[in-house]
Amino acid sequence: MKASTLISINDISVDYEIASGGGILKKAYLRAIQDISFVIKEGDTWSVVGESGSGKSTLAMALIGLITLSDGTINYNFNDQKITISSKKGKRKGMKSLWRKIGIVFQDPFSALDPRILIKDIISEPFIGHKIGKKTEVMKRIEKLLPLVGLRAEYLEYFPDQLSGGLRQRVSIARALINEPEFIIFDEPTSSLDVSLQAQILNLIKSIQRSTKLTYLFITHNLMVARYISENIIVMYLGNILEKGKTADIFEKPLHPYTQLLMASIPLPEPGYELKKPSAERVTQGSGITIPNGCVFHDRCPVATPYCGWTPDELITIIANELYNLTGERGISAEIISETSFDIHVVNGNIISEVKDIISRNSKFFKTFREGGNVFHIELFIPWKPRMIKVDEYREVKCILLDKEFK
Amino acid sequence: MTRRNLNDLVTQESEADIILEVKNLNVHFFTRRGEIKAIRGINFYVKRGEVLGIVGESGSGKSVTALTLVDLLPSGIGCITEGDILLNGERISDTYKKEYRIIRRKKVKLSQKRTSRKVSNHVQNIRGHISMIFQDPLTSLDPLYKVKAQMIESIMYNNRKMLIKRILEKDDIKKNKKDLVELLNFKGIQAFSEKITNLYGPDGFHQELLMIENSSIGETEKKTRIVKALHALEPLDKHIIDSLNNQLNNLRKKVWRPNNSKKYRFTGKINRILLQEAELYSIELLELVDMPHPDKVMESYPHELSGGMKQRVMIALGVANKPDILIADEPTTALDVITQYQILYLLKTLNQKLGLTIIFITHDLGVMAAIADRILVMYAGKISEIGPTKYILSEPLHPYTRGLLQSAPSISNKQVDLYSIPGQVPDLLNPPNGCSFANRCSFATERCRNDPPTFNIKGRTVNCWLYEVKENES
Repeated sequence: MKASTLISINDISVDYEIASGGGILKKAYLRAIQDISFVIKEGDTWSVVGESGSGKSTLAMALIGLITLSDGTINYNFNDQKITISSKKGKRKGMKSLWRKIGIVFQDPFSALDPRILIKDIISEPFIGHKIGKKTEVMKRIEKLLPLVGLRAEYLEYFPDQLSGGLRQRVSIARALINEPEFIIFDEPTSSLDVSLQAQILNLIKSIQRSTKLTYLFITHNLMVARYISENIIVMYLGNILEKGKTADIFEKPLHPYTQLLMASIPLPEPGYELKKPSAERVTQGSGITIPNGCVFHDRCPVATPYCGWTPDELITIIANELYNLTGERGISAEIISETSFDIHVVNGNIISEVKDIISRNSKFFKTFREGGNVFHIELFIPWKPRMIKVDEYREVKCILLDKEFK
Repeated sequence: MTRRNLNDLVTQESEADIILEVKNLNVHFFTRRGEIKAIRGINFYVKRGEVLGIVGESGSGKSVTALTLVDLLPSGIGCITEGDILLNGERISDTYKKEYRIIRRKKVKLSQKRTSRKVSNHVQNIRGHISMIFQDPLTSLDPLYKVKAQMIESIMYNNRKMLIKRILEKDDIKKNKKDLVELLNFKGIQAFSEKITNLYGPDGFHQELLMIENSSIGETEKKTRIVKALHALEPLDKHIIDSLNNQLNNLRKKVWRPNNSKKYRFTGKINRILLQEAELYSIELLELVDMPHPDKVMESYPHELSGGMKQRVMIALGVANKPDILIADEPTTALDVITQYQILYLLKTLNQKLGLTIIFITHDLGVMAAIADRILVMYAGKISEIGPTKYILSEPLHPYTRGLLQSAPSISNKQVDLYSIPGQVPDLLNPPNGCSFANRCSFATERCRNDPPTFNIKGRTVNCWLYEVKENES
């Protein structure tokens, strides 16, 4: 039986306003996630992997509808109803029913639970808040849940501070399950836990899926956890998906240089493991305010070529140099029109044919060129924005260097 | 700016002598709920120039051990009840003993009234030898001040003696112009620059010298330019040098520390000179930790830096004191994999280049494998096992270490179900008698009700009854 689509995410982007503007001041935005699309099938587990600041948590928030999208749509195809979130304002009708269908488990079990209310009230709060049933029903549901999440009945009368980290995370999971959701988001559920507790919680999460056939989205920065828990992985960097596919494939042969770097950076608990000089060139990730030209990762990429991050400026110098080598003249001036296009003005009429020659030779970088007298209008081609390249049915990768290989 | 000034950060002794020794250490916390026995009789030593890793779950006492070493236990609540800490053969755990007596006397009223411990010379001395970096670089730096201000403040308080020495040594070059010119004329540029490299140069003088040496002008021309550059240097006023010497003599007698009652302000001409020197020194430190654009970082606020850069600032501050030991308490837990790798590499190079002794605390065995020479496994306030990294990872002796290694998800092979150690960490208010791991251990037998002694097996120590027979055989 082929599983049906539960959630389809179509080219969503999210912007955060970082300066509200007013007067002569401009509004400024930070692009948290950009053109993200993938399809979650029923019963799947997806992991989103990336550094902090890569937009993992923003993606989760967008999926629950806690932030408005700037672009794109998300379609939910639940058993009894279909909901669509889009970037248009005023279309937030189905939100409450959406929240009933989605559960979420947060990172820090110490701040996710209200320290002043009892565990049983914490677990039943979503049930009562969404007016799903009467208060008498909730205790029945909790009793059913307890063996599933591995909590003893006596803990219900405790306060959160009487429980250890692992038990609190179990309470969080119980709270996410109380409304019988179809989809659960885990936002780094084990990153604040110890190794042995992490193993317990991961086993628990897996066993719940086995018995309830839930669909999971798992956010983590630990690749080993992602490998253990999920069948599909998305690798994110600066709000972009760089690689996605089946976990086994990605771990067997990471295609994108960033994925390779991530894999190489995990210290392994094996005797004789040695640190080598880090291959990442720059220390910092950069920010979403000024997204790098071309590939978002090119300025840290160990195998980047000049094509990965060309700007019109650099292209113009390359053309001018080539012309100088050919004719010994500097007879052109250039003007940048937009981020992806520029004009070349030929000052000296004698060298028009040479300029034409150079442009046609570089046609793999230029999309079109229009000639109007002494002016050439040039638009840039692929190096500008790398696109998703389909490798096979499940696997996609966004890297200019791999463009030719999988065309 | 030269890096050679920092080579004497840590004394470079290759012999594996013991720098820190902990003997039968017991640390208890006196709380309203009762006496929490956080550390219960641990023995270990740290060799000079090694990286000792401490592994354990939260609550196992690894952070408390670190805090005890730097005298940062919450005053009036936690203290050493028994045992000694020896740093370079000198006992540094005396102050706690005094406090323990105070705490014991007022045991009941503790939570209402905390005894405040004055920062004594003794404590100041410890902090000069052991420094510590913490888990979260975000909360370790003050968000209100620039990195520059925070670095200079710390250096001015703790390293005043070194700053004055540096200034005086720089001034030596300026005063001995005549000798240096003679050396240059009679023995040549080579000998001159060798002589100069042993001295701290005034700001920019070394660069100028290097530029002149590398330029393609003639020998005589080079000499005249160097002499010109030398003569351009102006020595400090005599009264400034006098008062600097005066301060230095006072500092030799006792550890300098600011008067806590009045807010200390760095004003006056001498302080201004010291501040300049401190700024130069902090840029050198940032260069040491491979910080990109140290000048820019100095002028930025902590929130403008990424997590990895903040941790680099913390490490720079940690080595500013030229410590004997650097304690790193989970310095990479809050960072992502790639940054973690860079920080680990940095700490390892500091360890190898400067011979810095590091005590590294973490719960990630992969990180341990990358950085530690020896691993100490802690459980419920006791040591389970100590041994070289490769043996601990390849053939762990203690059942707890085995459990830890098995429960980490592996990248090389996909498991169906992760192994998890059954049960929970015991409550340290009422720790169990005998082996504290016995109730979670699958090998537990009757004799585990008694406290396991330490067994030595092939240079490794393990606290487990399983190895009783083996020791007798060997």
